[in-house]
Amino acid sequence: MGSEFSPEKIEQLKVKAGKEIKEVLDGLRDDAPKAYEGVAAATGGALGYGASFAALFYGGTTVGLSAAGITSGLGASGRYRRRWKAAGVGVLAPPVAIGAVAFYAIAKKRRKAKEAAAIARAIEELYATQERLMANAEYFRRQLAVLEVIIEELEKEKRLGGGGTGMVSVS
Amino acid sequence: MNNKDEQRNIKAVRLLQRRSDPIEEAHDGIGEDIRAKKRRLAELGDVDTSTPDFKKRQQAHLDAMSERRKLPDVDSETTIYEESEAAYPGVAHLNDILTREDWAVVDKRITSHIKDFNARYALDGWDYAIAGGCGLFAAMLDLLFVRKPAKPDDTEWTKKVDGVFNRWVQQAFNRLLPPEVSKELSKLTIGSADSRTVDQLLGAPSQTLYPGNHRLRSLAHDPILGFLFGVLDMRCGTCTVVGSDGLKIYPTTGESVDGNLFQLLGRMFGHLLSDVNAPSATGNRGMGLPAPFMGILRMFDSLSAGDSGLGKQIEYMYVKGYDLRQFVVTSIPVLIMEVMMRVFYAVKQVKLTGSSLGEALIDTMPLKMNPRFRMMLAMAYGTVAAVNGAKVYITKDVLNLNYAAYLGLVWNGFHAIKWALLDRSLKLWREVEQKEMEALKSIVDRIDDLRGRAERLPF
Repeated sequence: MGSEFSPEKIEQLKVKAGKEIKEVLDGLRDDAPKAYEGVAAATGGALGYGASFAALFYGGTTVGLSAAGITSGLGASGRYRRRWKAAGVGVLAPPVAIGAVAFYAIAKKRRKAKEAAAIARAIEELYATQERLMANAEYFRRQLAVLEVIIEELEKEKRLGGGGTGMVSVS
Repeated sequence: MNNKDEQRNIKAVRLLQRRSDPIEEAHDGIGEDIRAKKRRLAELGDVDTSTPDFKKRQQAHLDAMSERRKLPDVDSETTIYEESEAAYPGVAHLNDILTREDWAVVDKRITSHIKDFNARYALDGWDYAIAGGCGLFAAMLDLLFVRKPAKPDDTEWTKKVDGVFNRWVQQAFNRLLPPEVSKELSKLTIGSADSRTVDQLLGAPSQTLYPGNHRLRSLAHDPILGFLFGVLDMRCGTCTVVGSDGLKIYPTTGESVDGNLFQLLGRMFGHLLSDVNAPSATGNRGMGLPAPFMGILRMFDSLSAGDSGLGKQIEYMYVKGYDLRQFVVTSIPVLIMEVMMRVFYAVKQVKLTGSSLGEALIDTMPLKMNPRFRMMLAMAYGTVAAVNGAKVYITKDVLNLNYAAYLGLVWNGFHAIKWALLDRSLKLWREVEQKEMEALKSIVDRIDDLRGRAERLPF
C-alpha cells in the first residue's frame, strides 16, 4: 500500500498533520477497548462454561476442572440414580423387566452418546469462533503497534520538516 | 445429563454463540477502520516500516500492550446460566445450537466411531471360516475317536476301553491315580458330606440316595460345586442332596468335620481325587465323580428329554458310566478345537490386521477375551454340539453325548447372546460417548490455552 504525492500536496498535508495525526491517534485509542474487551469476556465465559459441561459428562471425576462444574456433575449422577428407582421396574414381570431395562439402558447410552457428540460439535464451533476473535484481536494489537510507530515517525518528520522516502507498508 | 441440565447447557451454548455475533460485527468495523487509518497515514507521509529501528519500536509498543492482565471473573454457574435462562426462557433444543451442517458432521463422526468399533469387534469372513472349520474338525474328532463310556460294573479296571481318546484318558488316570493312591486318599474322609444311603439322612424319603448314585446326588461330590457344598456340609454335619424335587439339605447320622477353611478345602480335594478313578469293590471301573454340574442338572426332571425327564436321563447316564473321566474324554476334541482356533485367529490378526501376536493372543484369553472371539467360540461349539446331537439321535444312545461341547455351548452361547443383544450396544455407545468426551476435554484444554492469550490483550 503506498501513494505518490506532489511536493505541494505534501506541504499542505504537513500543515494539517499535527491536528490530523492527533485525531487518528485518538481514534485508535477509542478503538482499542472495543477490539479486546469483548474477546476477553467471551473467552472467560466459554472457559468457565466448558469446564462445567465437561465435568457433567465425566460424572464429576475430571481432575483440574472448575469446582462449580464438578459439583454440578455430581448432582446430575445423583438424579439419575433417583430416577432409576422411581421407574418402578421391580413391579414388571421379570422377562419384560429384563428386556425393558436392557432397552432403556441401551437407549439411554445411545442418546447420551449422541448428545455428547452434538455438544462436542457445538463447543468445537464455539471454540473456533473464540479462536477467530482472538486472532482478530491479536492482529489489531499488532496493527496498532505499527500505527503508533508510524504516527511517531510522522510527528518527528513534521517537527524536523523533512519528508520520508520509503513506503508505508504495513500488513 | 438429565433434561434440566440439558436445557441449561443448550441455552448456555446458545448464549455464548450469540454473544460472539456483535463482537464479530465490531471486529469487521474495527478492521475497516484500521485499514482506513493506514491509508490516511500513508497520505500524510512515507515511513519505512522495514528498518530495525522501526521494528524495535513496534515491538516496544507491542510489549507495552501485552502485559499480562487478570481476565474478568465469570461465574459459569450463575452468570452464564442465569443470563441464558433469561435470554431463552422457552424450551431449548439441540437444533438451536447446531446447524444442518453441524448435524452432518456429528453423524459422520458417529459413523466413524461405529466403523472403528466394528473393525475391533465385528466378525469378518475369516472369523466365520475359522469358527466353522475348527468346529467341524472337532466334530470329526468326536465322531472318530470318542466312544461312549465303558460299563462301570461290567468292565475290569485294567481292561482297555473302546475309543482312542477314551484309552488315552484311561491310561492317564490309571497312571496318575492307581488303586493304592485312591485308597490312601480315601482316608481323607468328609463325614456327613459322604452319606451313601437314605438311612444316614434324617427325614429323607426313600430312594433319595443309594451307594450307586450318591456321588451324583450329593453335591459335595461335584468336581467344582463340591468345594462349596462339601465344605458347608462338613462344617454343619449335613448332606446336600439333589433329586427330582430339587435341592435339599438333610441332617445326617454322620458327624461334622473340624478344621479351618483351608484344611476342609484340602480334605475335600483329597477325597474328590480318591473318588475319581477308584475301582469298585469287585475290581471294575466303577462310577467315579460326576461331570461338573451334572448333579445340578439332576434337579430339572420336569424338563422333557427323550422319553423321560432331563433329571432321570442325567442319572441314567451317570450310573451307566458317564462320569468325570468320560467328561475329560469328551473335552479332548473341544480342547484341540480351542487351541486351533487361537492359533488361526492369532495368525489371521497378525497377517491381515497388523496386530501384534501378543494383542491377538490376549483377545483369546478368558479374562480379557474379545467378544468377537467369544462369538467365534459359540459358533464353533454350536457346530460340534449340532453334529454330536446328530450322533446321539442316529445311535439312539444318550451316552454318546459330548457333554463338554454342550457345556461350552451354554457358557459361550450365553456370553455371545448377551454381547449381541446388550453389551455390544452398551459398549459401542459408551465408547462413542467416551471419545466425544475426550474430544470435548481437548477443546476445553484449547479454550484454556486461549485464556493465556486473552490475558495479554490490552482490554
